[in-house]
Amino acid sequence: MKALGIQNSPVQGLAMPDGCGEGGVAIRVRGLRKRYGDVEAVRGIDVTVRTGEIFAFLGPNGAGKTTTVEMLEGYRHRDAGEVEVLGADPARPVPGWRARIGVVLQESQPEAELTVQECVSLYAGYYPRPRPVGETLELVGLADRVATRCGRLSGGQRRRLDVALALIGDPELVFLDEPTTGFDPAARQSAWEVIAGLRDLGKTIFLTTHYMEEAERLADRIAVIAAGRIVAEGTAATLGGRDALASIISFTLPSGVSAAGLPPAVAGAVTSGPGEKVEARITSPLPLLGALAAWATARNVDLPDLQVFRPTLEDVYLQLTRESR
Amino acid sequence: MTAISQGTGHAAGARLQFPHLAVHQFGADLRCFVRNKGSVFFTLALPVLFLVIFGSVFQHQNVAVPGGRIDEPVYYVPGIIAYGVIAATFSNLVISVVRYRETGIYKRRRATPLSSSAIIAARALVAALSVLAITAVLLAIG
Repeated sequence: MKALGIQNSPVQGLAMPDGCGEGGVAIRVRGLRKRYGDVEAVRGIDVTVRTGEIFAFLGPNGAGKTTTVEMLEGYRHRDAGEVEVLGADPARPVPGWRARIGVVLQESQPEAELTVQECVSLYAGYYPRPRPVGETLELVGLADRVATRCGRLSGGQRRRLDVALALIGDPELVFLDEPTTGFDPAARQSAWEVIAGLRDLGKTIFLTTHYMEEAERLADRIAVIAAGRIVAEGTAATLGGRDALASIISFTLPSGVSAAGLPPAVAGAVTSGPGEKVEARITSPLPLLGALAAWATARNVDLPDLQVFRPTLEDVYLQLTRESR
Repeated sequence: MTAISQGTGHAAGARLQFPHLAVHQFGADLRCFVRNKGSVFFTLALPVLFLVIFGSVFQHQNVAVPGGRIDEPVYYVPGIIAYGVIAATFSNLVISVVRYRETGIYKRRRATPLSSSAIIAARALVAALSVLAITAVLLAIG
């Protein structure tokens, strides 16, 4: 569990070479392919997920996220490629393999006639070494719903139950397929807390989502999938070269002030005469801002709408997924 | 939390055995069956209602069978038992299996160590038990 300390610092986690430290490799995928009729849903995917990390698979609808996850879970057979999940091929699971993974499907309902307690106890009975039922319900925040019939739970509560059922066998690896799709903001927030709590239990988590914010909040590493291919991989900070992307400095040149004397990087970016919007793209904005401030102070002018934009994960994501179309 | 190569902690010896799983699943399935108003009505209540209704309508009649005449209500008992058996095994089983499949319950269970044979065995036990129950009740009324 020593690896946990590292997980809280994504930058450090990135610097970690493959398979370093205590963390081995939980999932290794090479050249994975899947075709449905004429459509090639997954077109050669390589992924490595290290033990103890939260790995997010980010992509738009229909990108191949669920197909990939279901091949890793053993639900679908691949057309080509190599897959190793906890040391076994999901298509030919070794005895005991299923007890070591937990699965939250994209869509599934619980046994409507059972109470929450009965349902979780039922699933606990499938596993050789289950977690305590009460403690697991506590973890997902359903401790006050033990006597409720599963059929009467709200959407958010059902999703929590899904998570409880995936955890009850005390798996090493948990798959979460779009765990918060269709949630209201409050429900999403509490689901994130639950998932972040799994990290503290030392679980490896493979998460698919189409919410940038979710990946950014939870994941140690993110892979962006679009049209069946991985188009970028990295931490939330470095994904798609986000850290190297230019920031944008924008302001309006006060009327009556000439653009002459502006710091060179800005001067070149002036769109036209006074009263116009000036935008400059630059990788390290701080020195330029300093020069700009000195310039403005010297001329005794203000730049009231001065703004600095950093590219958001969403910008990067949209750019990445657009390119692959 | 060890590396993947050391997965022997959950090796074959630690797996739960089929009879244990089947009985465990049977308990839950039985509970679901009893709590499902639809299946209880069509499997247990409806045959009893049939017998009671037919029995009271044809209360004072009797019917010729090889070897003599028997009371009409008694004559109906085997037929209605047959209906009960069909309801318990075919209709109820088909409806609930389809429902479980559509709601993703079976898909979820497939991700667990539970084997499909244990699921089938548990369903068969529930069906057998409900057949026994309805047969006993109908015989008693008849």
